[in-house]
Amino acid sequence: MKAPFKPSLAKAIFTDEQFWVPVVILALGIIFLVFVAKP
Amino acid sequence: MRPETKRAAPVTPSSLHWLGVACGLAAGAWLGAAEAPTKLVNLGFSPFLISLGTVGGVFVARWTVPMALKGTRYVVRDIRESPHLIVWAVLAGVLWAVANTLTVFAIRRVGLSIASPLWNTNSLVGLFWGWLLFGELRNAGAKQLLKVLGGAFAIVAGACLLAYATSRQAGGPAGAAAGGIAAALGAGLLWGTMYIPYRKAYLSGMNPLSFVTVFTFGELGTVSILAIVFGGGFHGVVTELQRARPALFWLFLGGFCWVLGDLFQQYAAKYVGIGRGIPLSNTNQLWGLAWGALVFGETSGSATSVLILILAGSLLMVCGAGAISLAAAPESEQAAWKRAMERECHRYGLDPDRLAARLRGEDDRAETSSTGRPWWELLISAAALGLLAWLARLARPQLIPVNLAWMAALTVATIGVLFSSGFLLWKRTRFS
Repeated sequence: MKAPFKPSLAKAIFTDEQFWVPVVILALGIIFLVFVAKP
Repeated sequence: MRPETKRAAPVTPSSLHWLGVACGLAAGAWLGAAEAPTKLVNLGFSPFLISLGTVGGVFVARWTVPMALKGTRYVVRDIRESPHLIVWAVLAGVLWAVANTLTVFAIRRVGLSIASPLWNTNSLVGLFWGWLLFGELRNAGAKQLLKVLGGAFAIVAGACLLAYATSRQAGGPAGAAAGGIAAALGAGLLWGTMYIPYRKAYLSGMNPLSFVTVFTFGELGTVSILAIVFGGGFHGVVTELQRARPALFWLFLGGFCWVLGDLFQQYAAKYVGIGRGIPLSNTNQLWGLAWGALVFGETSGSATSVLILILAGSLLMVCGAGAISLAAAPESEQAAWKRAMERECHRYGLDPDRLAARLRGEDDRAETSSTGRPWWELLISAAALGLLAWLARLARPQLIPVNLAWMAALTVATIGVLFSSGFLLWKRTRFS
């Protein structure tokens, strides 16, 4: 039986380029929300 | 040796496609039905409070439905097998919450009729990410490509017509229009991007029920923070929550219906991908219109031109959904999906055979859910039911005229969709 693999969170965060797509868009969204929410 | 997988009925790529289509359409029905209880809430509360109340119901449902269907041991095992997906699920929840808040500002500034079609572009954004990152529609052939793209655009166009025809809200001040339009487009971009974690999780073999259990932490946490920031601080939110007690049951009920729709959407994303599944679930606007027009009489007394627009928008959405339903992924496209899955296996050390089996609806974790239920599941169920019963006791009848005959008919139709699609899902995948 194949040994269960425990992927590290750090690997997911820093080496998976796909991860940065939603992160960058979320960051832009938050910045934009702050801008839009200004009275 | 791999653990023996369990399934009830043999499946083929074609039957999985139709399963995904059924889930996408059921998602539309339940996401649309989720609007009905919130219509029973009289105006006068801040949109952040309404959002917080609904997400409270969502949180309770996201913990009880997966537990009832698969059990906590199953969910915990699934999450422990792919802990890197915890980050993805929380990220998706945060994306949802920020997008939802942007829609509040968009509606305030440009009105629902302009804002709603703009954020409905989320299905096109999802389609783009599905193509770019996960091999969806790659090598699909011109015919299938035309069906999916044409169908997705038809659904968005239909949504535009329906929103334009049914909205009675006036736009905001002229100077605020650009900000409102940008906020609506931003919400569409964030929601469309939220589908990246969905697809990522299912290509990695996670069960949608496990994914939403984690997703809800990002969702509730962010909505709570945003309600405190924009809703007058912690004490302001608590005061308004107390004032809103008679309406909280309806908001919770809306949240519960929304979770059922969202779960079907997750299964659609798993079995037909986000490029096909998300546009299908965006037919929720059609169901929302049916509840608004038939039950709450929102279009009564409308001009003939408005009714023609509604009919045209509805027909466009039905035609779009039909085109996508008939666009099953050919073998050449499925090979591209397989390459996307193998990428995940290579990166995270996952077993490709096991993941391929899970994407076919087989479940090697099934024995975990059949080994008896622990005592705390009873406790969680009792707490959830107790909370709902308490809120129901506080609820006050809302003085809104409804057409009881249409309400009964739509309720039966929506529950019928739940049971037929749910049965199909259980029969073919055991909710895997």
